Amino acid sequence: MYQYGENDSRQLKQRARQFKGQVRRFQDGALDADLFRQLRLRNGLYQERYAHMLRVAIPYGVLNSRQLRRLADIAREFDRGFGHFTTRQNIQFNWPELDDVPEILSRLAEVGMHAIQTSGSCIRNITTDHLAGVADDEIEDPRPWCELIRQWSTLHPEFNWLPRKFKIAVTGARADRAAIQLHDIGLRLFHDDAGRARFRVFAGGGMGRTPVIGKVIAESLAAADLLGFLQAILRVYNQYGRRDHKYRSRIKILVNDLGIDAFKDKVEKEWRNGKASAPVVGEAEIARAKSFFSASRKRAATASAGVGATVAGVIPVADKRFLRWREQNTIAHRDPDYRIVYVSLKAPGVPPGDLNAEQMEQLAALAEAHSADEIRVSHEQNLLLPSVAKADLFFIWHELNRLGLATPNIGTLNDMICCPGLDYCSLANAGTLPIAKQINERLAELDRLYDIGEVKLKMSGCMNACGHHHAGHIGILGVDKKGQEWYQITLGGSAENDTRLGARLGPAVERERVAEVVEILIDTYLALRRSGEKFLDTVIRTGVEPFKSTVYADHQKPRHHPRSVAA
Amino acid sequence: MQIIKNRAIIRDQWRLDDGLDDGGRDDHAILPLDRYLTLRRSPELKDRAIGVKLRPDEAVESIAADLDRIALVALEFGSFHEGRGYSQAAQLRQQHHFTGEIRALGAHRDNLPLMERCGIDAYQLAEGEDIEQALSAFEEITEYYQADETRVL
Repeated sequence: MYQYGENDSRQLKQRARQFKGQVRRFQDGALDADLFRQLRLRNGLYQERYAHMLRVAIPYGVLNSRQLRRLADIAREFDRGFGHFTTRQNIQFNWPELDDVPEILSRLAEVGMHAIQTSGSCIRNITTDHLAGVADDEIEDPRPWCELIRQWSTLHPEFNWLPRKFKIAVTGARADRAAIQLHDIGLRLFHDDAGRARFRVFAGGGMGRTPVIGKVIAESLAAADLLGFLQAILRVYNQYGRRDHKYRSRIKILVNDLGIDAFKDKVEKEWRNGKASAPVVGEAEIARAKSFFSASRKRAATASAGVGATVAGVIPVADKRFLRWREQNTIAHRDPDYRIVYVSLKAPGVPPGDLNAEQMEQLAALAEAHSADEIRVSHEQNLLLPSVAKADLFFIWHELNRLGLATPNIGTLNDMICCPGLDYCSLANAGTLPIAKQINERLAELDRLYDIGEVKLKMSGCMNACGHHHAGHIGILGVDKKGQEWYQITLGGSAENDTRLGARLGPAVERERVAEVVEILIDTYLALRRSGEKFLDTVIRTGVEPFKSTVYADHQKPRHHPRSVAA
Repeated sequence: MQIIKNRAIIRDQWRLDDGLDDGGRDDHAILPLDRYLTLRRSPELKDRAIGVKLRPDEAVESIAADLDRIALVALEFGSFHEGRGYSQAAQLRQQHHFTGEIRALGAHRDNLPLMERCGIDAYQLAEGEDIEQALSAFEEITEYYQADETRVL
């Protein structure tokens, strides 16, 4: 991974010290509250429902064990012993005191971490494929490019006061796992016939209250021009994006208002005018960035000690639980001697994405010894050990199981994305965590979940869509109706290559009925599905009508809907 | 009135002039763009040091052809989070190679380093800002990844 040198470290220390001064000026009354708010947001600090929340960046989702241990220390000392991984490869601490935040930032700086630009109207943390560098369908590792964009966008003087927040995602694989078409800018890295890196550039995508799928603004951009072209897009957005209305100021609105062709003309004109002075990514710079992300080092499997049940190279076929986990929670690595291991943060009864300090520390130790010292964060709120030797798998399962991180539910209905909702967030209209629990409890049986197959359920507690509900195969949006929590259901969204926005099922349902409705949707799918059809395939084939009629017809009947599936 | 120029406090020799009511004797007037465009060919402006004020929604291109006879461009920052002036300044320096003064009107202390890095070199501070204290803002962070108007990478 990228190693912070002296200059990178100095910048982080200076930034932490600068923020300390700003906190002091605010407390002394020398800094206006509104100004301070903007400054603290650009350092990741929110004022939430009950306390402050600090959002720390995990650039493109890559962590080493030292960093994860530091997050554990911070969780223990400044939070209530846990952290929450978000859908944008960040971690949030929910209970820091304002006075402690400069100290937390200093401690993060010591391990090459920060909270710079994790909120506010500026360029946010750069996100990418959580399988970058290890996926078997990868064309080129996107991480060196992400790091170049991270550096370019960090404390960029021109783009610190944009009309609104700005999110950039990158993928370098055949399958998009970074939801690039639902970002302000999405970048698809590919190779031309001569094998040179190029980018397909999407602009104007986004979720929030006006979901829009990004449109292609450059089919094939030379890699050397990447930052210059980003500068042109940002400059056009900075100058022409609306600033008079918070909900009309994202780039997607500008692209829609102008039309993609007129927007593209403006960007191309700016690009031509600015080209002579625009940043160029030189060969040496690319090579340097790539040198930090060499392919995972081979290492001998070392796991068996202490477990007894396995010897290197021998898989203990007897343990069904292990086999089920291996099948569900690990996937092919580009090196056939390895597997990619998902660490499920979706154990029943635990808020999706939460991890406690003890788990962080133990996971750091596992990564250090068994996964090339690397941990990844996925936008689906799970962690990964990206490079585990096959012979170590049984040991890893055993350890993860002990830590409560081996629930074999990756890709199932219970592997849901979920924002913190009303329990924490000051923007939320409705709770999400209790609904997640309700669904988990109602559809808990693993064999049933496996039979249902892949369903991406995504839930947000308000229109801001932090839980990506528009892109869920099943999307759930919490709304407030006269002080009561209601939930709108959408069907058929996707954030992958075939990015689609979910269609409304019908009127919102009451809180008590959400899990029941999800179950009816699932039962309807099971009744309708053709051989080999996944949930999303069926929804696309049939449309929402059959689902709508079962859900709302059922509502008229008494409340003793049969809970078991016809087996 | 005092302003900051090139990181030093100086006495300002310019004045914002909406009317040009002094019969053309006054040097160092900063004219709003529409007024400048009306007067640009008139003898009144000849041989005088002239400044032009741009609002955030006024394009740098509208004065591009005249930049060699404009001594100062003033950019309005109506509020703390007004961001368009940064792009205007960057365009003036990078694309039009403007070498005169670029002045921020209504600058806040914590934004001064960003402004300087975009090519702004003079600052009329927003109301309530302490000019002596504001000078220290420039020194807070010295490490940046980008090449900018204060340094070449």
